Amino acid sequence: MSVPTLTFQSNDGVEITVARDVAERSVLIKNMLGDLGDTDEAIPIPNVNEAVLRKVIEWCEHHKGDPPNTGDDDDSRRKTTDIDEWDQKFMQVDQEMLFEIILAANYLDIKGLLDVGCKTVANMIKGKSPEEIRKTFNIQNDFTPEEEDQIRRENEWAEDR
Amino acid sequence: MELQSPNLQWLPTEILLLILQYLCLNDLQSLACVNGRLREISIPLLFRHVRFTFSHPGLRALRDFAKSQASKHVKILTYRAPTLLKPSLLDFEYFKCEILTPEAYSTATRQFYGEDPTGTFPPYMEIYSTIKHLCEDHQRITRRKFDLKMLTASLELLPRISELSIQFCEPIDTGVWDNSCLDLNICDFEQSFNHHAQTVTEALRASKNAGIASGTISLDFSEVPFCLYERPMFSRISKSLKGLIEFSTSICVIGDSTPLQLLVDTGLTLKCLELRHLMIRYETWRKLLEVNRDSLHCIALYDTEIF
Repeated sequence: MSVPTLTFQSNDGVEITVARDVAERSVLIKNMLGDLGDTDEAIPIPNVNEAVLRKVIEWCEHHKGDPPNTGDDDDSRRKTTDIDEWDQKFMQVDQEMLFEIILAANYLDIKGLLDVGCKTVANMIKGKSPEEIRKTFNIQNDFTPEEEDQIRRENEWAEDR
Repeated sequence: MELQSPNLQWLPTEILLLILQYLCLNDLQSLACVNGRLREISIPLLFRHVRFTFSHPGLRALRDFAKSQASKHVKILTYRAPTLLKPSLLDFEYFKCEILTPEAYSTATRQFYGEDPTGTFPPYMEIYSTIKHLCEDHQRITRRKFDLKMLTASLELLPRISELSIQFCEPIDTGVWDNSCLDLNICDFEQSFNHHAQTVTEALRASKNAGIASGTISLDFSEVPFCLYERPMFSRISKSLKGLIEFSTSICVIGDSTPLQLLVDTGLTLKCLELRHLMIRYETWRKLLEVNRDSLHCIALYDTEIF
């Protein structure tokens, strides 16, 4: 028996065929199929280009056996940024691709991939000074020196927990 | 072009908030200095818990902060309440004769540092002037009720606050010098406790802050546990403690169990009780549970020993 498949169309017009259980890692797709039933037509993914879509599918293929997310995270507690080895390698991409993957995971509603993406960005921020963060992410400082002084003072009032 | 290629700062807010969940306080503080957009995103998490100290600059900072946009995000306010210095310290003769005689000073210096030239206490007069300035600051604040005014005004402006933590602490930062080596008897613990407890109670009443009434009051003695001091007059302390605790039925006690013995005596009814880092006698614990048997519906213990 052949594996049921779906076809996606990226925003630059490329069609990619995917096993259905892989595609259903995306809650958006899963819900859509639930509403519309099976389809032979290519499903357009308007916000995602081919390169990014292929990366996303690669991740879904590797993680197709993962248990479904329980979704009862404790939001008050700070989360660990541990990332498993395969995901770490997977996320070794340039920054533009990293952010594209995160945006695609958010749009397609793939929580596991979104989490890994966010952890990767968090790890790039950790332990850095403001200037180092600006350099890493190519961000312009739009504060005046006086504002910066004020902000540093205000930051002192913040407390952990 | 910059808007088209994705960049950290242009990620949608909900994604940035997900990233922020993984950062510690230091990282959030750095991120909040990067630029306006990242500051705006960081503020709600950064200022969830804020801390201010009883001192002129500390109380002014609290008032300024309460007026700022960030104040609406505060859930926990920690108020550091240093032990007040005896007013008699303003008299140098008293200090010289009763607190630290020049002879005691040189003995202590020799005793702790020997011939080691790198380790010395600050000069004698520097110690006195530090203490004197601090004492003057305390006196000015209490005389003008500056702490009460600032606390009241600020509590009115914190709509989401659900916990007020009073952190009793030493008046002199050990970064200045280690007071425990000199062991100066400069504090009036009983009076300090009463003053801070009464001030906070009055501020809570005057500000009518509903958040704390339905939230938690924490009493943190971990830096200055009662047991370090000569047994204070419990009857007098218990009155101010009662006033404070009457404000909320959810209490957290940290670092010393003495207030719990007082709680048993006052016969107040608690709904929630949290204990951290302390040892409590079995007898006190049993009585506490008995008194609050009908009201208590939540108990949390962290690092607590019942003996």
